[in-house]
Amino acid sequence: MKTDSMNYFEAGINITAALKYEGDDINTDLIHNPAYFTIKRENLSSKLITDDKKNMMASEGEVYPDTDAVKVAVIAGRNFGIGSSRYSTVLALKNSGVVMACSESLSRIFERNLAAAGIFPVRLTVSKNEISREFPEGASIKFNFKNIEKTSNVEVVALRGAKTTGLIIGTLPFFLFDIAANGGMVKWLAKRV
Amino acid sequence: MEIKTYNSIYQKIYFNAVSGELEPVGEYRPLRPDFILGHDPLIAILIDDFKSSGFKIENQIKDKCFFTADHFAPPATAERANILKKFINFSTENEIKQTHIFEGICHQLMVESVKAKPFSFIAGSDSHTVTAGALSAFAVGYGSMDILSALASGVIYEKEEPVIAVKLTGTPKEYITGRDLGLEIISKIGEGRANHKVLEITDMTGNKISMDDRFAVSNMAVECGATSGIFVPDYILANYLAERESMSSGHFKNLFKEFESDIDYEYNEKYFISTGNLSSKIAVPHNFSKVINVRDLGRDIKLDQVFIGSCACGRLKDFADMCRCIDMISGKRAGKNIKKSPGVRLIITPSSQKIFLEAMERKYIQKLVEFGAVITNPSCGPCGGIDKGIIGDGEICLSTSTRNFQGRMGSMTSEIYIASAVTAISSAYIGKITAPEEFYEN
Repeated sequence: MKTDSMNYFEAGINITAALKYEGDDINTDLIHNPAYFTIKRENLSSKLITDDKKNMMASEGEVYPDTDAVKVAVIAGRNFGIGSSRYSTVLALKNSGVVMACSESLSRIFERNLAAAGIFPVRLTVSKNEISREFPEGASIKFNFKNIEKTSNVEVVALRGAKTTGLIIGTLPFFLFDIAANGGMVKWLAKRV
Repeated sequence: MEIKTYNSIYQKIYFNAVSGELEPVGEYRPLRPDFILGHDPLIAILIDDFKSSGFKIENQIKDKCFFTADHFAPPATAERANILKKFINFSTENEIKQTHIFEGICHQLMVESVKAKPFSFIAGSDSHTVTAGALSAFAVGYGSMDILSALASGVIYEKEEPVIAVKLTGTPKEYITGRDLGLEIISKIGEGRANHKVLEITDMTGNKISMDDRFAVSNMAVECGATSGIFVPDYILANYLAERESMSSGHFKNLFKEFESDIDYEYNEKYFISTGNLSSKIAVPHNFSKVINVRDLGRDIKLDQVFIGSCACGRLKDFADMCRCIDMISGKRAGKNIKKSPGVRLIITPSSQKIFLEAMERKYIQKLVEFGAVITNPSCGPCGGIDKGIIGDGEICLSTSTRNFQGRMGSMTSEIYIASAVTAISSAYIGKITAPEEFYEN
């Protein structure tokens, strides 16, 4: 692993987001239907997230003054993001507040697109059910990122409230973490070209 | 003691593409694409980022670019016309010589181009770039930002992946096409189960699988989740390349030896598909996780539309298969001028202008129009819910296109069944989903 990565972890990189659970086989067309494709980025949003956002928060008793500003971490089942390479799909998630997308199996192109848009793509190492037993939908969760020694992977730990220990929910390759942590592919690439 | 490393075709291409000038990032090595495929909407969406960051395309990278306008071809709305204009302007400003406007679907134009070489690393801004795996290329689909990386820096980062071997054996029946083979492979491996793996596909049928059928098989590798679906090079490929490049097939056979998989390479998994026993296959709504024999569906599913086209189908062999199917039905029904069922809309889209012209030359188009088909210009059309065949509320479409996701071809309450061009013609004739076996057997 390159030494720049140490800066992230020494600084204690973390994000806080409300949890949203999704099922298996959430494909790219369900996230953002190709009929509504546009390159006007401000017009992209995902009904998958926005339709449920208020209900999701209310069910957990969380009070947010502005749901549009709420950051969301999606925990999905198998084959999350299977289908198209359309970058508009992840921009729609980003505009809907998604900062992290986790799955038991993230589709390869979708995973790369997520990181390219500055969204952390996480491969779950525990089952969705196990996470949901610990963390209900709508709960505000803090996610810490730690590099795993002697590997090129980054571990994601979920914590709730004032707890200092949490559940290791998954990993992501350092390459994708690096891109997402830099705010996406364009900023990552600008440092290199 | 030296430990010998054995490699597959994929690894040989992968390591050949690694750039020695840049450091890996974790397990991801920088690879230099030999061919960069881009199409109208997914190039257009990267242009603002590209320009605002001050990136430039170096001359040697421009020569690798192959841009096509095939999605909004022609555009159906003012917004899409603006997207197309933005794409064309970008291509012109950057002097991309290989820019093809409305000449066909990018994946077909790619495999028709002499610039798409066997054993090369092909990167495209579309998931079905894997189609070129039939050329024994490591052909991979990416999102727009990875393509932006290729344009701006000349590299895309990739990690080495395990390989699944797929061996096709036996002799397929006359009505079994590449679409059926692809669906069978998905049903064996599972939708998405080959994620972060590469398929290596070997035709062990004694050259019974044509290049057009192989393109359909490689095209579906992505539906298994695979990064690429690489056919092992052989006689069929050598002949295809020889014709395409006006060279002797011997030239290619010598090249093939260099890239053969090492005999002791250890595959992650192996699948043997006995093509001789295969029945016509169909994927039922709304994903590829349920692939069954067409005849197991029965005759109860009434169709509103049949669409034959996309980067998965619509090649010359598909046209020949469709016309042969009409002949088989005519023979059974003792009628010379059979027509599709009046209640079904039949839309057929050739994959490229070259195919369109050849299909006209061979009178395939005439026969299909007389059967009742509407022939559209080569483009992606209804496959991605774009235009020229959108389906309405509650409608059912049998399609040869790439995906059957809910709402992909129009209304969220519509249903898409995916099958071969032969099944599509059989079904268009009856007006209900119908197995070709009804006309080809007995």
